[in-house]
Amino acid sequence: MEIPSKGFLYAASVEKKFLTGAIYSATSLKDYYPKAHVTLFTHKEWVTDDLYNTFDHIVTEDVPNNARAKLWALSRTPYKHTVYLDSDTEIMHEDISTIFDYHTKGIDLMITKIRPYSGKISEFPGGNLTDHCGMFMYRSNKKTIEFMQQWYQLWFKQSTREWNWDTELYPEELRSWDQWTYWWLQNQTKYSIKRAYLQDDARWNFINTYKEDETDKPIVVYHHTLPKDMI
Amino acid sequence: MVEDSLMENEEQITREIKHPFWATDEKTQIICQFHYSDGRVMEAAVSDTEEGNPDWKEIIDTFGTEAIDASTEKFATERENARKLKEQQQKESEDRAKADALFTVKLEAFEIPEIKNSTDRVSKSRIRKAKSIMEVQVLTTALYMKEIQDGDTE
Repeated sequence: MEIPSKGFLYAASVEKKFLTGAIYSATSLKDYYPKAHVTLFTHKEWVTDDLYNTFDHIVTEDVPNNARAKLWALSRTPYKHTVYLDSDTEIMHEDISTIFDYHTKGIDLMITKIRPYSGKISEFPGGNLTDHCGMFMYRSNKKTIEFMQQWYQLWFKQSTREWNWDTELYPEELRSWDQWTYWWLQNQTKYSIKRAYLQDDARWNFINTYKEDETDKPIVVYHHTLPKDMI
Repeated sequence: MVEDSLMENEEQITREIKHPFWATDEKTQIICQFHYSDGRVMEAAVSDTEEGNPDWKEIIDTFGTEAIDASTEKFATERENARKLKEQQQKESEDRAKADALFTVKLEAFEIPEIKNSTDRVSKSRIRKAKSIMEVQVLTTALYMKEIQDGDTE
């Protein structure tokens, strides 16, 4: 089957609950947008025939067993135009079929804003995290793909403590966040890419801790939290 | 010598009264803070006495009853706001816990092969949209039974 130029990407690794979440999310996506083309990056041993009821394309080769396998997958997207979704999201409205129309010309990445009241960490002496990396849309141009590659590589160094930083400016608690890696690349390196926020962004990535009045339009993507104790 | 030195130290310590407000509607008691020059802060309840309490007199003379009225009102407002905020945070926390529990049950429902592999998108969508754990259970059971029956028929 030929892969279209636009599609949705999920990644599931380390714990099976991420696969369960990805199936749940992708099923909701197909309900509201049956023509959506969906790719899953996961492990070979987790793939069963029924997964193809939900996912159109499944990639298993060399997928790392890493909590941020998503970052590894981003640069390997089969699409020219990708919407990445965390596995704890749920699609709630048919407007999801219009999302690609909202990609501003000349912009590499469309994303949503963090609400400081909702994030576990957003402000620190050296800056503040502004972009929520649980849902975004990007174009596969050279610059963006290079950014995604760097994101995974730097994340790997961050998680293995090969990369350290001035903790006076950037607290150590940032280490567990891929949003921190993203912030660093965007603000402190030559790899930064052009990003813009989706219009009425809350409806495209409505975090379960957001206040109801963040949007007056129907929520398109709702962001749950996968339970910690779920196997 | 030692006694002199102690007295000298005690004499050097001064105290300032801050943040007074009425503790009773009858305005017979004041809660305030004594800030000592050595850094200590003590919260005190001050009442007037028959023979006259110098602390009470000092507070009234320094601040005046109108200023104490205003700070009492301010303190009451702040306390009420703090109570409301705590109440709201507790409610949000409870709502979130409920929502998380509901989401967990929905994920578990979708791990059942008969549900996961069902092609009945309408029923699956209903499960996802369910507002309570009981609703998830009822809808999951209904779809499960349907899938079993369809399987038997085939």
